[in-house]
Amino acid sequence: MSELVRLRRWSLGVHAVLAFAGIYFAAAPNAAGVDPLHAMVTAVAAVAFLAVAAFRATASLSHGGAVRLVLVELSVLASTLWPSTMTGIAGANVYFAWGIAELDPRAPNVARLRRAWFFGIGAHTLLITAAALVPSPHDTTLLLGAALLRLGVPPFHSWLFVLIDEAPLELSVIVVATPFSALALLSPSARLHDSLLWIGLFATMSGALATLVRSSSKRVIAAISVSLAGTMVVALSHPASSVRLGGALLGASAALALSGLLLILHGIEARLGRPMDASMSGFGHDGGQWFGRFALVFAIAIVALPGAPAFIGEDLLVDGLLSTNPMIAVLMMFAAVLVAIGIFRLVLLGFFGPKTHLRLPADALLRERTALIALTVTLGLLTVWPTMRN
Amino acid sequence: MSACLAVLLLSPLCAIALVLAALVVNRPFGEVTLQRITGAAMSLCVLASVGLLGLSVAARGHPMSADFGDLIRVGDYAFRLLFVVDALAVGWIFFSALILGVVARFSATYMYRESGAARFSVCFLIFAFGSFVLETSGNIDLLFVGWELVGLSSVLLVAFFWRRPMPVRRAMYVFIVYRICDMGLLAGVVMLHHYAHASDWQHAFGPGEWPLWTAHLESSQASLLGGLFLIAAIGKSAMFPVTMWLPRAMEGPTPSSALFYGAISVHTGVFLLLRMAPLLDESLLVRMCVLAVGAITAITASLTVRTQADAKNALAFATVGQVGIVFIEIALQLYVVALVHMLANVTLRTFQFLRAGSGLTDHLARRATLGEDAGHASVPRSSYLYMLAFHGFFVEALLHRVFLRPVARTARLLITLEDELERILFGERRPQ
Repeated sequence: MSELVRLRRWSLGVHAVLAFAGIYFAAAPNAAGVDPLHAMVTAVAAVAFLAVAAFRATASLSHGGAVRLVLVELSVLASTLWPSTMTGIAGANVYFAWGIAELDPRAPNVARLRRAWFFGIGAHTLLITAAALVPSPHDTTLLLGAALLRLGVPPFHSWLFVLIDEAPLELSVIVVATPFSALALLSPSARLHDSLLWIGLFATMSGALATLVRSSSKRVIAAISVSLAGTMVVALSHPASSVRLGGALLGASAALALSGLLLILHGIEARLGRPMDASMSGFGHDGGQWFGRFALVFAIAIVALPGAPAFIGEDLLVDGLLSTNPMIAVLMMFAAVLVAIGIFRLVLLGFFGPKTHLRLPADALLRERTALIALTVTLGLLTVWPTMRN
Repeated sequence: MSACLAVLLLSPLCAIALVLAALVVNRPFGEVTLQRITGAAMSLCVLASVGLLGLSVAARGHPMSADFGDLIRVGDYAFRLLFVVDALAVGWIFFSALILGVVARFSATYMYRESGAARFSVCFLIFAFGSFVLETSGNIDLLFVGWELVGLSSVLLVAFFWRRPMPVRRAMYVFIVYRICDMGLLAGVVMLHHYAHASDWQHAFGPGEWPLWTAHLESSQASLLGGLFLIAAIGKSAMFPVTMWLPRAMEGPTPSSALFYGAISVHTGVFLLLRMAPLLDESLLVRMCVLAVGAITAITASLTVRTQADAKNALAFATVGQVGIVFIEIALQLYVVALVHMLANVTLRTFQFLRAGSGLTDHLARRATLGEDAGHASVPRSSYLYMLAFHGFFVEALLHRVFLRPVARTARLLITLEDELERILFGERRPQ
């Protein structure tokens, strides 16, 4: 057995244990005094880390990379147990900085990636650090700015498109899987400023519109991520706890489903050796059937069809908004329809339809299928999670 | 009652789980096994529906309910598994179980040696499960679940022949229409929670039995809710102005066309309006809208059917024309007449759709033997009316110009700005 295969098994085992720990804290009410919402965030991130570890090509495995991924997961788990320490955010930011620093400077677009990282994650880190140094209430404003930046709320969202589209697998998927780590920056009990509602609405609408016309598959995912980040901001700015829970559920299910889709796209691009765009189709044919099936499952999860946690989240969100801001509720529903159309455009036209001249040399491997099943099962668990936490 | 309901709902669900489990472990069932599983599930459903019919007759048509508790509870929000079998539901359950059984048997022969048998079975069973959930739903949440499952399976079956470009594009078109119109249902679900502080029929519409319920809502509230449910019904039943998705949906295999566009799916909108009869009773405005939609659809569909060269399309428009008349009956508060009309239309159209292929062969054979005329269009082909009907009264082009084009233009402008901002901040992207 080669050393790299042993490394992968070791790494997958550690991630599986950590994912189980995250799910345990999320599912067991009041376990070790842990806030269930934070625990749910951790569980989602942990499963996404597991999936990333499973999807990494054997050739790209290294001891440093494996340890880095385990460390960031440990820091996220630690932030669940001790939320005030923000270890999760710090760990994730160090992880991104390490990943960006490791990129080959001679590769194309590395300078763009570094600028995007600095504009997004770097500025986010600076704002958090500054918040620790200034007195209240300025620290709240800085933390709010850091959260909006990390979520990729327009007009601070360009970095998100670049990182998701151009960064390697282990960076782009983690960007998508952990946006709502920004939730930790915002006190869930405090009523946020009303202007946030409008910022969130603008993000939701602009992201949803962009999903309709973007041609790059990964950029469609980035646009959906922006739209759902806007939805989370709207939810956070609402006084009702059920609405905030709805927003968190939407965010968690989107993080899982978008991570799954992004992993599939990375898998396909790694096999093709080139990016996938709107002109290509039929990857769900012979050679990519598993990818096609899972892409459909994740698309359905994002579309908020019944049975998906996003459905419950959307119901809670719209129900709460109708009582206070009916017009915003209607616009949010319209945005959800646009996102649904955008994601189905990506999946139906990309994975089904006539086959392009490009052919996948191999379908999803066993370890990749297992990772995608883990994401799907976690999505299923999220559906019953609101009842379990009561 | 609970046992019959459990059999009705769990049979397709277990069959889906069985087929999917076989797919996941990479040991897909053979064609004959799939047919047996689907056939067994549908046979159980027919037996359960007969049982429910018998129980309903014994109860003299009074509603029977089964409460399986809350699936989800968050604060005041609860998703309750409450099922009701009443005078409206019982006949529809029996007919749909029977039709599903007939179509399952028909598809066993029709889909012989067709690739994707497992996919067809899964979509068929999802449709069966969704339609039974919708029909037996005791609250609006469950109705929405069934509604969406019916829509999803419908879209997936339109794209059944997914190796060709047109089925996929047309499935996408159907999905867009469904999604936009379903916004009405989703808003209606939330508004009903909001106004009536309840989601189940008994609490939202007061005591009594269908169709004698009365909604204890203000007229404006009933109008708003009725209007939202009407939007949803228009989408699902292919009423004016979204009738043109129907010919596009004919890309699927004939058994699914019979099921969706001849029988159950296209009549789901009617079922929704009948279920929401108390809201219509409260609002003259909504009834007028239902009347207008029904009348316009009946006229336009009956004209369009005369311009169709394809048997399945002609049947689809004929079905929709009749559904338009059912809408008129609902607007006139003739609910029982509408129910009977709907069931009759369902039965006739299923038979016609399933016989479409052999009917065409018979017709051609008869013409070859007897030298009969091929028939003629009842609308002169040179007339403006023919042109209008042929082009679907240009409604689609109008919707495209008024609604789709501005949205697409705004979206393109937005991404141009985004790309420019990205270029300024991070520099040009070099090709890899």
